[in-house]
Amino acid sequence: MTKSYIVHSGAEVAAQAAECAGEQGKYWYMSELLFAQQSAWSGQTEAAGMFKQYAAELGLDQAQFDACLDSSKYADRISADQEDGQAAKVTGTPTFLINGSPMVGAQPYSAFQQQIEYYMAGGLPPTLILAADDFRSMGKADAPIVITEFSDFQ
Amino acid sequence: MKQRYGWLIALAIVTLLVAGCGPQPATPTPKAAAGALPSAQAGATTAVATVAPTATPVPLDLATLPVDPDDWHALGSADAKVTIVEFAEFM
Repeated sequence: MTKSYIVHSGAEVAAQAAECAGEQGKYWYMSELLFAQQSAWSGQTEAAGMFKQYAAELGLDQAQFDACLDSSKYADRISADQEDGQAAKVTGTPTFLINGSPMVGAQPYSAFQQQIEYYMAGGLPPTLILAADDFRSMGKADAPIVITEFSDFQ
Repeated sequence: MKQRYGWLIALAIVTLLVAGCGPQPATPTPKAAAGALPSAQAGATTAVATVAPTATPVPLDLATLPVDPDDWHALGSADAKVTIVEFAEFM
Protein backbone atom coordinates (compact mmCIF):
# COMPACT_ATOMS: atom_id res chain seq x y z
CA MET A 1 0.00 0.00 0.00
CA THR A 2 1.07 3.56 -0.45
CA LYS A 3 0.88 6.49 1.93
CA SER A 4 1.52 10.14 1.27
CA TYR A 5 4.63 11.66 2.73
CA ILE A 6 5.02 15.23 1.57
CA VAL A 7 8.49 16.69 1.41
CA HIS A 8 8.22 19.07 -1.54
CA SER A 9 5.81 21.97 -1.83
CA GLY A 10 3.21 21.32 -4.48
CA ALA A 11 3.16 17.61 -3.84
CA GLU A 12 0.21 17.88 -1.47
CA VAL A 13 -2.18 19.10 -4.16
CA ALA A 14 -1.06 16.23 -6.33
CA ALA A 15 -1.71 13.83 -3.48
CA GLN A 16 -5.19 15.27 -3.09
CA ALA A 17 -5.81 14.81 -6.81
CA ALA A 18 -4.88 11.15 -6.47
CA GLU A 19 -7.23 10.76 -3.52
CA CYS A 20 -10.06 12.42 -5.42
CA ALA A 21 -9.48 10.02 -8.30
CA GLY A 22 -9.39 7.21 -5.75
CA GLU A 23 -12.92 7.83 -4.60
CA GLN A 24 -13.94 7.20 -8.19
CA GLY A 25 -11.84 4.03 -8.44
CA LYS A 26 -8.95 5.56 -10.36
CA TYR A 27 -6.32 6.16 -7.69
CA TRP A 28 -3.60 4.14 -9.42
CA TYR A 29 -4.42 5.54 -12.86
CA MET A 30 -4.09 9.07 -11.54
CA SER A 31 -0.88 8.13 -9.72
CA GLU A 32 0.65 6.88 -12.95
CA LEU A 33 -0.45 10.00 -14.77
CA LEU A 34 0.92 12.33 -12.10
CA PHE A 35 4.31 10.69 -12.21
CA ALA A 36 4.33 10.57 -16.00
CA GLN A 37 3.43 14.25 -16.28
CA GLN A 38 5.46 15.41 -13.30
CA SER A 39 7.69 17.76 -15.31
CA ALA A 40 4.61 19.43 -16.79
CA TRP A 41 2.79 20.32 -13.57
CA SER A 42 5.62 20.57 -11.06
CA GLY A 43 6.12 24.16 -9.98
CA GLN A 44 3.08 25.41 -11.90
CA THR A 45 0.74 27.75 -10.06
CA GLU A 46 -2.15 26.31 -12.07
CA ALA A 47 -1.31 22.70 -11.25
CA ALA A 48 -4.78 22.09 -9.82
CA GLY A 49 -6.29 23.05 -13.17
CA MET A 50 -4.00 20.57 -14.88
CA PHE A 51 -5.08 17.84 -12.47
CA LYS A 52 -8.69 18.55 -13.42
CA GLN A 53 -7.69 18.03 -17.02
CA TYR A 54 -6.12 14.72 -16.10
CA ALA A 55 -9.36 13.75 -14.40
CA ALA A 56 -11.17 14.41 -17.66
CA GLU A 57 -8.63 12.29 -19.54
CA LEU A 58 -9.29 9.43 -17.11
CA GLY A 59 -13.04 9.73 -17.66
CA LEU A 60 -13.83 10.74 -14.10
CA ASP A 61 -16.98 12.55 -13.08
CA GLN A 62 -15.64 16.06 -13.57
CA ALA A 63 -17.97 17.87 -11.18
CA GLN A 64 -17.30 15.39 -8.40
CA PHE A 65 -13.55 15.52 -8.93
CA ASP A 66 -13.44 19.32 -9.09
CA ALA A 67 -15.50 19.68 -5.92
CA CYS A 68 -13.30 17.16 -4.16
CA LEU A 69 -10.08 18.90 -5.15
CA ASP A 70 -11.36 22.43 -4.50
CA SER A 71 -12.54 21.51 -1.01
CA SER A 72 -9.32 19.70 -0.05
CA LYS A 73 -11.57 16.84 0.95
CA TYR A 74 -8.73 14.47 1.76
CA ALA A 75 -6.38 16.88 3.51
CA ASP A 76 -6.93 15.13 6.84
CA ARG A 77 -6.15 11.76 5.34
CA ILE A 78 -2.91 13.05 3.88
CA SER A 79 -2.01 14.59 7.22
CA ALA A 80 -2.67 11.25 8.91
CA ASP A 81 -0.34 9.54 6.43
CA GLN A 82 2.28 12.15 7.19
CA GLU A 83 1.97 11.41 10.90
CA ASP A 84 2.30 7.69 10.20
CA GLY A 85 5.48 8.43 8.29
CA GLN A 86 6.89 10.52 11.10
CA ALA A 87 6.09 7.75 13.56
CA ALA A 88 7.93 5.34 11.29
CA LYS A 89 10.97 7.66 11.19
CA VAL A 90 10.56 8.37 7.50
CA THR A 91 12.91 11.14 6.41
CA GLY A 92 12.60 11.06 2.62
CA THR A 93 10.69 9.61 -0.28
CA PRO A 94 10.27 6.98 -1.31
CA THR A 95 10.61 4.93 1.85
CA PHE A 96 9.34 1.37 1.92
CA LEU A 97 8.50 -0.73 4.94
CA ILE A 98 8.71 -4.37 3.99
CA ASN A 99 7.14 -6.34 6.82
CA GLY A 100 8.17 -3.39 8.94
CA SER A 101 11.79 -3.22 7.83
CA PRO A 102 12.70 0.11 6.21
CA MET A 103 14.23 0.38 2.76
CA VAL A 104 15.01 3.89 1.59
CA GLY A 105 15.32 5.34 -1.88
CA ALA A 106 14.62 4.21 -5.41
CA GLN A 107 15.85 0.66 -5.22
CA PRO A 108 16.33 -1.86 -8.03
CA TYR A 109 13.88 -4.71 -8.52
CA SER A 110 16.44 -7.13 -7.12
CA ALA A 111 16.44 -5.34 -3.75
CA PHE A 112 12.70 -5.93 -3.38
CA GLN A 113 13.01 -9.49 -4.66
CA GLN A 114 15.67 -10.25 -2.08
CA GLN A 115 13.54 -8.99 0.79
CA ILE A 116 10.34 -10.64 -0.40
CA GLU A 117 12.03 -14.00 -0.88
CA TYR A 118 13.53 -13.69 2.57
CA TYR A 119 10.14 -13.25 4.20
CA MET A 120 8.42 -15.80 1.98
CA ALA A 121 11.01 -18.34 3.21
CA GLY A 122 9.94 -17.67 6.78
CA GLY A 123 12.50 -15.03 7.64
CA LEU A 124 11.78 -12.72 10.54
CA PRO A 125 12.37 -8.99 10.79
CA PRO A 126 15.91 -8.25 11.91
CA THR A 127 16.66 -8.02 15.55
CA LEU A 128 20.05 -7.07 16.84
CA ILE A 129 21.47 -8.84 19.85
CA LEU A 130 23.54 -6.34 21.78
CA ALA A 131 26.22 -7.61 24.10
CA ALA A 132 28.03 -5.09 26.27
CA ASP A 133 30.85 -7.54 26.89
CA ASP A 134 31.51 -8.01 23.18
CA PHE A 135 34.89 -6.47 22.31
CA ARG A 136 33.20 -4.56 19.50
CA SER A 137 30.96 -2.75 21.96
CA MET A 138 31.63 0.32 24.04
CA GLY A 139 29.51 1.78 26.80
CA LYS A 140 26.99 0.45 29.25
CA ALA A 141 24.69 -2.48 28.64
CA ASP A 142 21.69 -0.50 29.83
CA ALA A 143 22.41 2.70 27.88
CA PRO A 144 19.18 4.42 26.76
CA ILE A 145 20.63 4.99 23.29
CA VAL A 146 22.42 2.36 21.24
CA ILE A 147 24.31 3.02 18.01
CA THR A 148 25.06 0.00 15.85
CA GLU A 149 27.48 0.51 13.00
CA PHE A 150 27.61 -1.84 10.02
CA SER A 151 30.89 -1.23 8.26
CA ASP A 152 33.85 -2.71 6.48
CA PHE A 153 37.50 -1.71 6.39
CA GLN A 154 37.46 -0.19 2.95
CA MET B 1 23.65 21.95 29.37
CA LYS B 2 27.31 21.73 28.38
CA GLN B 3 27.19 17.98 28.85
CA ARG B 4 24.13 17.81 26.60
CA TYR B 5 25.88 19.66 23.77
CA GLY B 6 28.88 17.37 24.14
CA TRP B 7 26.65 14.39 23.76
CA LEU B 8 25.03 15.81 20.64
CA ILE B 9 28.42 16.52 19.07
CA ALA B 10 29.53 12.96 19.81
CA LEU B 11 26.36 11.61 18.19
CA ALA B 12 26.90 13.79 15.13
CA ILE B 13 30.47 12.52 14.77
CA VAL B 14 29.37 8.90 15.01
CA THR B 15 26.62 9.56 12.47
CA LEU B 16 29.12 11.08 10.05
CA LEU B 17 31.48 8.14 10.52
CA VAL B 18 28.69 5.70 9.79
CA ALA B 19 27.67 7.65 6.70
CA GLY B 20 31.26 7.79 5.52
CA CYS B 21 31.56 4.04 5.68
CA GLY B 22 28.96 3.61 2.93
CA PRO B 23 25.80 2.49 4.68
CA GLN B 24 23.99 -0.56 3.41
CA PRO B 25 20.29 -0.88 2.78
CA ALA B 26 18.28 -2.15 5.70
CA THR B 27 18.37 -5.84 4.98
CA PRO B 28 17.33 -8.61 7.31
CA THR B 29 20.38 -10.51 8.47
CA PRO B 30 20.32 -14.26 8.01
CA LYS B 31 21.50 -14.69 11.60
CA ALA B 32 18.38 -12.97 12.82
CA ALA B 33 15.91 -15.61 11.82
CA ALA B 34 15.41 -19.18 10.87
CA GLY B 35 14.79 -19.90 7.22
CA ALA B 36 16.88 -17.06 5.91
CA LEU B 37 18.23 -17.22 2.40
CA PRO B 38 22.02 -16.96 2.38
CA SER B 39 22.08 -16.51 -1.37
CA ALA B 40 19.72 -13.58 -1.13
CA GLN B 41 22.03 -11.90 1.35
CA ALA B 42 24.92 -12.17 -1.07
CA GLY B 43 23.26 -9.59 -3.28
CA ALA B 44 22.89 -7.06 -0.49
CA THR B 45 25.75 -4.92 -1.73
CA THR B 46 24.11 -4.29 -5.10
CA ALA B 47 21.58 -1.82 -3.76
CA VAL B 48 22.25 1.75 -4.78
CA ALA B 49 20.45 3.96 -2.31
CA THR B 50 21.68 4.88 1.12
CA VAL B 51 19.79 4.42 4.33
CA ALA B 52 19.36 7.12 6.89
CA PRO B 53 20.45 6.04 10.35
CA THR B 54 17.48 4.83 12.34
CA ALA B 55 16.95 5.86 15.89
CA THR B 56 16.30 2.37 17.15
CA PRO B 57 17.65 -1.01 16.12
CA VAL B 58 14.34 -2.76 16.69
CA PRO B 59 11.92 -3.45 13.82
CA LEU B 60 8.92 -1.20 13.48
CA ASP B 61 5.63 -2.45 14.79
CA LEU B 62 3.35 -2.91 11.83
CA ALA B 63 0.39 -2.75 14.15
CA THR B 64 0.89 0.99 14.21
CA LEU B 65 0.55 1.10 10.42
CA PRO B 66 -2.74 -0.57 9.63
CA VAL B 67 -3.00 -1.93 6.11
CA ASP B 68 -6.59 -1.96 4.96
CA PRO B 69 -7.13 -4.09 1.84
CA ASP B 70 -10.36 -2.21 1.15
CA ASP B 71 -8.47 1.05 1.00
CA TRP B 72 -7.89 2.26 -2.54
CA HIS B 73 -4.21 2.70 -1.71
CA ALA B 74 -3.81 -1.03 -1.18
CA LEU B 75 -3.26 -3.84 -3.64
CA GLY B 76 -3.08 -7.58 -2.98
CA SER B 77 -4.45 -10.08 -0.50
CA ALA B 78 -5.33 -9.21 3.07
CA ASP B 79 -3.46 -12.30 4.32
CA ALA B 80 -0.30 -11.82 2.25
CA LYS B 81 2.90 -13.03 3.91
CA VAL B 82 4.75 -9.92 2.84
CA THR B 83 3.40 -6.41 3.22
CA ILE B 84 5.02 -3.38 1.62
CA VAL B 85 4.03 0.07 2.81
CA GLU B 86 5.39 2.84 0.62
CA PHE B 87 5.70 6.43 1.81
CA ALA B 88 5.84 8.56 -1.31
CA GLU B 89 4.93 11.81 -2.98
CA PHE B 90 4.39 12.76 -6.60
CA MET B 91 7.50 14.89 -6.83
